[in-house]
Amino acid sequence: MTCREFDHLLDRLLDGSCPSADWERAERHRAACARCRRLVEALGGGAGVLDEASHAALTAAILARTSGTTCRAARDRLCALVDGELSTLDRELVEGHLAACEACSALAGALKQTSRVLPGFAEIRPPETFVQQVLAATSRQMVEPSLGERVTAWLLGAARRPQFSLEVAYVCTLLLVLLFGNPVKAFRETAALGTVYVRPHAELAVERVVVTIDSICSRSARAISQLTSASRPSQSSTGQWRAAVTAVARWVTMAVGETLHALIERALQWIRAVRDKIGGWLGIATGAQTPAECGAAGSVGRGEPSSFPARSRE
Amino acid sequence: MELAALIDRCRDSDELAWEALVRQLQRRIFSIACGYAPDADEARDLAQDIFVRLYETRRRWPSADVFVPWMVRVARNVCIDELRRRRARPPAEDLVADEMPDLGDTRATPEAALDVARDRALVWRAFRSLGRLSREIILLKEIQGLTFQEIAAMLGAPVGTVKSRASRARLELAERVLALGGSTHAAPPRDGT
Repeated sequence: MTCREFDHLLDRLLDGSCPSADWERAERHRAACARCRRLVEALGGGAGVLDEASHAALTAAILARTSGTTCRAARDRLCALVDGELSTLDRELVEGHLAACEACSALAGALKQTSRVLPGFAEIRPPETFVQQVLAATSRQMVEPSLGERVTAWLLGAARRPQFSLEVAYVCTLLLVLLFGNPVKAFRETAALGTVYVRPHAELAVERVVVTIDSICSRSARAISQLTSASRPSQSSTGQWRAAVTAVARWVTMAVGETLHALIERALQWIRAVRDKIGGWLGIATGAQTPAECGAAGSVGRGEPSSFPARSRE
Repeated sequence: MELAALIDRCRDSDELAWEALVRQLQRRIFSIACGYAPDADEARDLAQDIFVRLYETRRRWPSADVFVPWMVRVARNVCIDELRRRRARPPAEDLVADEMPDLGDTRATPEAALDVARDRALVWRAFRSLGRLSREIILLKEIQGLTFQEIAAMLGAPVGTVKSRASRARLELAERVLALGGSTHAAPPRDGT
């Protein structure tokens, strides 16, 4: 049996309600343990007075069975004790705990030490040349900065703070919405405007590119033909080479032109489809399609037939 | 030299008054910089930046009775902004200053000076090993002597929060002092002994 177990049985030992098996074990422990023997004598009003160690042990045993350790409560008041802010009663309570607790007593000592030493750090001697360096740096500031420079410096300093940047972004977003209105409406109108204004220009640009490439290829083919016919009679290998070059040039013309045209057409259809979808989600008629048709005609690739003249293949 | 008179002269761009003010405040400003900077060189640069910021705003200085708390707030802002801008390694939890600040101790006897120096070295090392928040609250309250109200206004926190944070920081500092080498003075005597 340990002293802890003995403490738990103490009440029943004293009032005689302890089971016999436990009583025997407790008696054997009491015979062997001076501390528990004195404890029983003190509680039972027996002869002898508890010494300091027994008092401390008794207190610890009682606290262990009741409120638990009181170090935390004492530490919460240590700063106030060191600062002299505790009431008389609180001060006596804390000092009583410190008298019995080495750990808290050491902590209180360290706390007093730091409170005594820390104010000495309020002024620390800088390097010898510090004042000269400061005066040199500030003498360059003798010219009063202009209003613009001060505003710029303030903005730069404020922009380094993340919270300021977020607030500015928020305010700018609000201003944009106030100035330009409903962003969904703006998106729909922009897409419609894009269809009206951008597409003809895009088609014109594609046509010009295709025509230019075609022209280059034709002229190249004519030049090659003239060269080969001027040099010697056409031979089978030269004719084949000319035909191959011409075929390649025509293929490049068709491929580039048709590819560009197809890409632009797909982009316009995709923009139209996205616009219709968003309009359908928001319950806004986009003009080109009703919301009911948005889901059916929403996939990319389908839409109005191309009005770009198809290039004939030769 | 009276601070109020120096402040008035500096507002009028009196160069000699500015030099006198720099000499009067350099130790305090350098102390604040040491609380934030990871090393002495960084502290010196920060202290210079603080003085430059003070000089640039000299026409808007407050009155002498609130100048010191205002100056500490400016110093704190400069330190935080500059360290963030330089992406300097923030004072880490386990960062301990390699150099003991020169406090210019003038104790009478060498033995007393040695004891005091040992005390200060121990406490400074423990102070530098604190986390950033604990170190800042110790710097503002215990070292620079600001009130809880002034610190609360500076940090944007309630006074009660600042008080509890300060108590925890002081206990943490005391525990670190014990862990680093223990108190150099005997524990308070027990009653009756």
